Amino acid sequence: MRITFERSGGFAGLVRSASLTSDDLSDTQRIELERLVEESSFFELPADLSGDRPVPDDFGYTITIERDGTSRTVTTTDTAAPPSLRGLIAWLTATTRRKGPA
Amino acid sequence: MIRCIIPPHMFESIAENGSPLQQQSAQSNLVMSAQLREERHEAPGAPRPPGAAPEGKQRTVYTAGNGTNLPGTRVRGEGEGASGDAAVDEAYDGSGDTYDLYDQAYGRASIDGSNGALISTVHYQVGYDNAFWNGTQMVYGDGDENLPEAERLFNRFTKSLDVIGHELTHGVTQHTADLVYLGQPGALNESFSDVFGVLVVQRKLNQAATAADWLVGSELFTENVAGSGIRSMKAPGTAYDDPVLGKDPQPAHMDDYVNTSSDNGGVHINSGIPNHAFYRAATELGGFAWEQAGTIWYRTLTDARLTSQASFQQAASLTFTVAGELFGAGSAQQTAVVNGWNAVGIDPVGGDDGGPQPSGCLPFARVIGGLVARG
Repeated sequence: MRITFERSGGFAGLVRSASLTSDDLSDTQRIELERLVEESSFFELPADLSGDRPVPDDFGYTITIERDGTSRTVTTTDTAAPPSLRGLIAWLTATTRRKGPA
Repeated sequence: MIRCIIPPHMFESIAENGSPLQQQSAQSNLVMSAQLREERHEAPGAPRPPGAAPEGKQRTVYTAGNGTNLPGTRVRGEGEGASGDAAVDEAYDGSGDTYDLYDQAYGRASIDGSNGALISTVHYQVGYDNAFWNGTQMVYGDGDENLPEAERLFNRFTKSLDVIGHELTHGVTQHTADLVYLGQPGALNESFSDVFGVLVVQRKLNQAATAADWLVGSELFTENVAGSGIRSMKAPGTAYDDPVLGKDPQPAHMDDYVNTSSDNGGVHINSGIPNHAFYRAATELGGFAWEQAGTIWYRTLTDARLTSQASFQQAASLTFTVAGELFGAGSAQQTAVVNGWNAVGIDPVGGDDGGPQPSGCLPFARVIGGLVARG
């Protein structure tokens, strides 16, 4: 499984992009990620989950998952994402989080 | 509807400081201005029974308790003492400072013009480095509070007063021009929020345009970040240049306009262009930026000729038109507006301002000129 994740927007307008494959992860991380992908029914989600009206300074997310020769891209936002997808977004956000020098 | 109203604070100043004849004239204009404002406020909704309108600020601050439920648990209401929670008290005080700018400088009663409630929620989620306006209220995260101090990049988002002014202004825009949050109208929406955000700070500090730092979010970065703020209106593109966060991507000129699909078409990037135009106009005029330049921008934002789909060109042309209506054609104020937009590669003169020209409005400069001549 390969995931490409981009977070854009927010008050600061900082774009964060990251891609990772299952091979990059520990067993514990991989099992958690697969659970969250299942929980979200990711491959059955509509491609555009951005909501009717953009929320100013909302984070925008574009997530692409490739698995077993199938690829799906979903675009959503912090406030418009369905509850089932929030766990995956939170996991990807935490995993790709930028930290200071220490 | 009558649309060209001279900023009431200018009449207030004359009414206090002018000669007897100037004061008399200004007083009568103040009364008329107040009536017109009331008319504008009442216009969109149903008639309100006398005495039913809320008076003054109506602030309530809630905590999400690090969750996502909005508005969450009520912590502090209007007139209640400090809570001791910095985020709660900053949201409360900052909403008040923003209310005061709109009320005292522009005669606008709260976000909706009808003294509507100012609702804030703090402590939203965990490690949430953001603030937003959800169409009804302001929401603030605590930054990187859950990381070790040495790894933190962001402080809590209520720490910068201009962030609070920025979010509330999204509410004002929603109730007025309702600029679509995409592409150029989206970048204008962002820019108006940055403009009035920094004006809240400058007014709070009683700071002249030339003395201000013109930074947006200067308290948001921790000392681990090589940056002075999130955006610079004085020099877009120079606010930060950091090994972890990268470099501030804002352009200061149309030549460098960024075409992108991300961030709703780069609304937080291309806002640098109108931001810098405002900075140039305000610093050319000198004095307090919220008075002349701020009034021109406020009147533009709330003018029905500014459509929800407005381009930079259309907004620029309307600031030129509005400056002419308020201060007179060829006035120093209108010239500063022209120079400001020219500096970012936009010519506001004679362009399409998005609407028909009004008639029957007395230019501000002629009113003042007449008063001075009689005095």
